[in-house]
Amino acid sequence: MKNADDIKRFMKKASVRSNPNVNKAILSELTDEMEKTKQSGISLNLRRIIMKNPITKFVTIAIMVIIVLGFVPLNGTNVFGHLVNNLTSTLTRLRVLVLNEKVPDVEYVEEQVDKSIKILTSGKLYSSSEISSLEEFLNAQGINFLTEASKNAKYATIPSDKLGILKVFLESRSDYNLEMVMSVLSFAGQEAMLATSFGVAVKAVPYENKTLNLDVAFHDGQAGFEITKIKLNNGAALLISDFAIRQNEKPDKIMLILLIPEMVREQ
Amino acid sequence: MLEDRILVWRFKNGSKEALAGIYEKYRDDLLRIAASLLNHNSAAEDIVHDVFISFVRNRSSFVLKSSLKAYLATGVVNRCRSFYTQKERNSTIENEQIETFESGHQRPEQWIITNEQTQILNDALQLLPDEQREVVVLHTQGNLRFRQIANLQAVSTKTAQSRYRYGIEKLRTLLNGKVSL
Repeated sequence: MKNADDIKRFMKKASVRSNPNVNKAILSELTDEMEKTKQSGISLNLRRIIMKNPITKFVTIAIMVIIVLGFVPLNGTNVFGHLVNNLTSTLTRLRVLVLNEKVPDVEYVEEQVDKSIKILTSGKLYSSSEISSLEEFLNAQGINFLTEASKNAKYATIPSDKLGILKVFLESRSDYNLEMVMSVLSFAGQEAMLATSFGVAVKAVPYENKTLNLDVAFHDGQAGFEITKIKLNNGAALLISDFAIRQNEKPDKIMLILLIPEMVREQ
Repeated sequence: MLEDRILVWRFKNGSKEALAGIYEKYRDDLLRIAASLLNHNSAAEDIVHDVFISFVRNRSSFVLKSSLKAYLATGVVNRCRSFYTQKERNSTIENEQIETFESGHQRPEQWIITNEQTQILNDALQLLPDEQREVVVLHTQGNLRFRQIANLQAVSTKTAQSRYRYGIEKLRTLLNGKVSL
């Protein structure tokens, strides 16, 4: 054996493999273990994390108060227009409203050391209804879903002047129910990340000129992730739906995410 | 890397697909590391199994600070070190009482599948000092960077690189004539 490179090559060749049957059995065991942990301790962790730090407490309270004030019928303004009016800043809040999806309640908070990002999630969702009427409504507004990103999802950019109308439409349907799921605060130039338990994750970077650059990752099963870059201008929102894969059957569960960025005055 | 961050996010939010993604991505590397460090397949299988179980159980408190792979590999290495310690302790008692490690999990099939070359390599690795073996295995088979290995061993990067050089050189001597490429 001549030199160190020969050793490295040999080590790569003399490698172990794993038994596929055992792989499957252990994965199944891990999944069962995850089910057991889902119910225990997460809510307790949230309370401990929120309450141990006074700044976290303040931010959490502020977010909750704004949510209560914000859920009112709109007439073309942003969700929290009465708070945001004409305020510009480097601070962006992203609201993700998840519609019609049954997921377990999940509570999670993470605070970065420099306090530049606060992430709060709460999942509480309801069963679905027909989606085709929403698509017809959007088409009538000149908004079409795009499907290039992934075969498992569709997305559409909702301009700011249509957002209020969309919200009114959704709120007028008794079978839809809107719940705040995630709220992320991030400063200009700093990225924030959102993730859901149903295959979509978003990295967002707000800029001073009130645009928001998003990298949206759609999980494509075994193929991994498709990442699509989307730019939102001030007030626009992003609507993501996963019903593309179930085109020919009526889904009993449809997932929609409405991601609404808002520029607020920096605290 | 973004994909790992996304996987961890989804995993922490209860996604079984994300758990499967992490498991599929890193399982074989961890098995390879454990098998090479210990040269004891059933112990290696148990250790990797325990690392994943612990990862799932501590899901809510887990924070991804750097590399997910390095985090999981650290779990494997720490458990391997405990195994060495226990084995040494047992071997000093009485020769007749040397413990043969019994797997905590009874599997009808073996998880790790090796070949003759693997066995020759692992036998040779056992003749290296523990620290050198760790660096050689983690760098060559785990593809960890020296900086990551240095953090794990609580030494400088230069020391880790030096251990690697000595380890590879000794391996070359041990394997010379026994195998060919």
